[in-house]
Amino acid sequence: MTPIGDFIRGHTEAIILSILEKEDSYGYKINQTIEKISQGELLLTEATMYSVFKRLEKNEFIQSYWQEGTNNVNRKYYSITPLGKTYLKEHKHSWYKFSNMLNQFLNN
Amino acid sequence: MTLGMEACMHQKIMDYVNYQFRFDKRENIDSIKQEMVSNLIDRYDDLVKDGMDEKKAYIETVKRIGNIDETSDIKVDQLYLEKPSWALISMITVSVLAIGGLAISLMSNVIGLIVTLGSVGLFATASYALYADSQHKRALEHDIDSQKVYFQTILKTFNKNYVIWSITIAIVFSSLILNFIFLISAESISQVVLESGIGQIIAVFFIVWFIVFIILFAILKSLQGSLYKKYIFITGDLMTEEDRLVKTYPDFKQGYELILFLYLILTTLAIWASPIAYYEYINGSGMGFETSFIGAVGDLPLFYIPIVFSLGILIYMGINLKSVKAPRWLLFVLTSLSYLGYITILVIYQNVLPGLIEAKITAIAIYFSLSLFGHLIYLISSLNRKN
Repeated sequence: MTPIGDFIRGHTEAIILSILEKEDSYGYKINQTIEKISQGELLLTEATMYSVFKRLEKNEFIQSYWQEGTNNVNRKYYSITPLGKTYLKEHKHSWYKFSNMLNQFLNN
Repeated sequence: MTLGMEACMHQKIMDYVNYQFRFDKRENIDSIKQEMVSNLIDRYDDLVKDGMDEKKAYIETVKRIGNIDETSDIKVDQLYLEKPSWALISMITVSVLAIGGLAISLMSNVIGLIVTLGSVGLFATASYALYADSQHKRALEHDIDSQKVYFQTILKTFNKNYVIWSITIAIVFSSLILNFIFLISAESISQVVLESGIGQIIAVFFIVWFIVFIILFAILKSLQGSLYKKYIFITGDLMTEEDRLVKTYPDFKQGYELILFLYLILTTLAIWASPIAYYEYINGSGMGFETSFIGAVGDLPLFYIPIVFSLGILIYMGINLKSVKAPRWLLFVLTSLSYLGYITILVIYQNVLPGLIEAKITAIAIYFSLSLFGHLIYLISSLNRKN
């Protein structure tokens, strides 16, 4: 894994929440978005995705429901909860604070 | 044709996922598999749509499953994160052999001893292998966790078996002592059984067994203390319960002093038993205890030597039991003199009181063996301290 991927890895939950904040989505689509935005730097395996979803669901940050998609394939969709939105807001806030601080250090 | 191929590949992906989770008995496993399969099929379809060859797309797809253990909350013990070595597996055999040895020793001393020694030997070898392996891992792979786990396995196996080892070896050892006694005494086992009954032999056997057991137990207990100290020293990990053990029990070297102390109590008893034995002998002629005791000591002034010296060591050891700074040479001289006193008693019995030798040789032989054993341990302890 490249260093960029390692940096991002600690924020996987926030990344997924930020994607779900825009619209409800399912595993493969979320992964595709991540891959596209990170330009292939961050690749999540199915197992990792599952464990992240499970943690988020356990914390009640997301909810899931089954929906039939194309080709009669059932897909598990996830939607962000109000609690998840609050968490994401807090995470964003601390990230801005952290990145500003780091910028000050590194730009000096 | 393409549709058939597609369905076939979808089925193949499903089969692959089913195979990966074949041992998973979670209630929601079907839902997990279904979600995973739908994501994988989407990926596969996209890859094929982008022009990738079906077989290659399949491989690229299943590669993205990742480590399925991540999906489970069941955490595998650190011990099993790697393939168990022969040394780890041997630790189970150590326990089996220890229990087997104990059972067999009740029927056959020699075979029981061999099996038990096999257990001890295997433990020593496997422990060394694990220790060496853990040091190697620490040095080359900086894997402190494995080191800790290996050390804990050594300690656990030791804790499980050391009492059983002590019991078995004590059984064998006390049988040997009994055999030795009958070998050097004029009486045969059947003669003693006829005269005094089997109860006496069982009583002697049990007393000897108990003494040997206590000695072995003390040695192993103190060895356990040393192992815990070593564990804490190497790993820096304070095991709450075991830490208490280290503080409660003496370390290996102090353990030797404890054994020496026990040995001295026995020698003192033996030496004091001699005049009492003499009193019993004289009692036949109607003499009182005081008279005969004074008579015994007075007639045989050499009795003084072992009594005085062994009492002196006993008091000295009692005061310095917790001290590690006891002068070695003083203890050595004192115990040697006490030991010399023994030989003297034996000579006196043979020359001055020939009638007594047959009756009391059994007791003397026991004390003699024990004192030999005590001295042997003392010598080992002296050598150990020099290092």
